[in-house]
Amino acid sequence: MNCEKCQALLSELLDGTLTDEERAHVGRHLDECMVCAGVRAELSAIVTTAHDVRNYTLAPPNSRALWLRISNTIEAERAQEQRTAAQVAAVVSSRRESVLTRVLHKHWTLSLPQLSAAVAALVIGVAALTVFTVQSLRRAPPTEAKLPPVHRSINDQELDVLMQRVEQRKGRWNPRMREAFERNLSVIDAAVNDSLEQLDQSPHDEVSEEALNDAMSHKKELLREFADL
Amino acid sequence: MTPESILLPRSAFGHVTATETEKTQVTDYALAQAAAAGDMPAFEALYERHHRRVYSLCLRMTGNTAEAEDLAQEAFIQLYRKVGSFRGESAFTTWLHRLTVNQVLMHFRKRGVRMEQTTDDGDVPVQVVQGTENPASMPVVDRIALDRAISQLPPGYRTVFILHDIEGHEHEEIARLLGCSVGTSKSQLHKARMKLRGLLRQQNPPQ
Ligand SMILES: [Zn+2]
Repeated sequence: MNCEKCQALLSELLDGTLTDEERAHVGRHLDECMVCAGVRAELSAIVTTAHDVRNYTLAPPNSRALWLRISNTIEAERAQEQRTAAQVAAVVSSRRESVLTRVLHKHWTLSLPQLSAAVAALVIGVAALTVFTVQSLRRAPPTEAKLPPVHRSINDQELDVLMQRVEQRKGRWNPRMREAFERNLSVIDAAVNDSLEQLDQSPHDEVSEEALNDAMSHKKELLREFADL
Repeated sequence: MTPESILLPRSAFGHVTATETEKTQVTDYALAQAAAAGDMPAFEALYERHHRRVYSLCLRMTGNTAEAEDLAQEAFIQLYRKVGSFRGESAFTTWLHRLTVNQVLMHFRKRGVRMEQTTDDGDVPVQVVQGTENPASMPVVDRIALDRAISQLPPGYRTVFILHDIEGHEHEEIARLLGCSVGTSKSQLHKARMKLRGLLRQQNPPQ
């Protein structure tokens, strides 16, 4: 074995990944070559020192300023999310009002049996909308819901069905509701795309995979809610 | 049951400051859960605990303080967005480490840094050390000298060296992260070590 071949195998020797035969050859060369033995010692010192480096952390020039930049960005994002949540709640309550006004405006033109049916419908309608309002308010912090992980594939049948239903219903929504839906959807889609982009670049990034699953769960919840409106 | 697996009630972090939380040794998992529910003091406590480690990793990988600060900032913002998906199955430090590495690698890709053959001299094989050097004397290899030499490595070598020799990843994992073969990861590591050896000798010539 010559010096070139020996030196090429030194890292693997240090990491213990050579075959017995290779190790024996390298060992014989190192016994008689001071140059290669010297290189081996230096590489070994580098590897050993590198282990120490891990525990030696450095502080950023201004930890406090860095934290303030981070927390300001997060607070701004949270404020945006809260505005969106408030908008959804407002849309729902305005929709409830419109049902009430419509029924109340109509009631005096109705016959008695019609009126009692209308009251029954009103009670059911308001109850349903209240349930929806409570659900959507409860959902305000988006990390609350923990659904089982969704499969990574975006070719999701349930999602397609929900999307179709939403498309059919959309025409009947008022502009504020449509805006609230679009805004929610764009926030979620941004999160989905962000995760997909990261997964595209590092397909085995489990952190992004988990985030993608969460975002997809939220997307389905949003679609389920609006598919019924 | 280890202390790590005890989940404290969310109300425990209502109004505690970061330093208080540190003193009372609340687990990272409990803090992560609280942060996921929107508890900023809990998130700040996570920052206080881990920001040096995140910043150091970013700094070593980029070799540039301004870039490292930006990347550490972005890593913590990503952490806040994703902290709800931390299930406590692995150690929080491992999870955050992965998130940070991904952040840095993505930054490299955006900047067009190539992970393979990213040497100033192309993919020229490592120069064989000849007998002209004085083999009996060795340069001092200490932490500070090594850190300085690492910052002078080309990004591709630096990344593999940091991930393997400093952070302790296996070649299989590095290959996956970088989208290269295990063989490439191994040869990049060897070249990185040889290059470091040269840099350390230049920096601190043996007497
Ligand atoms: Zn030799």
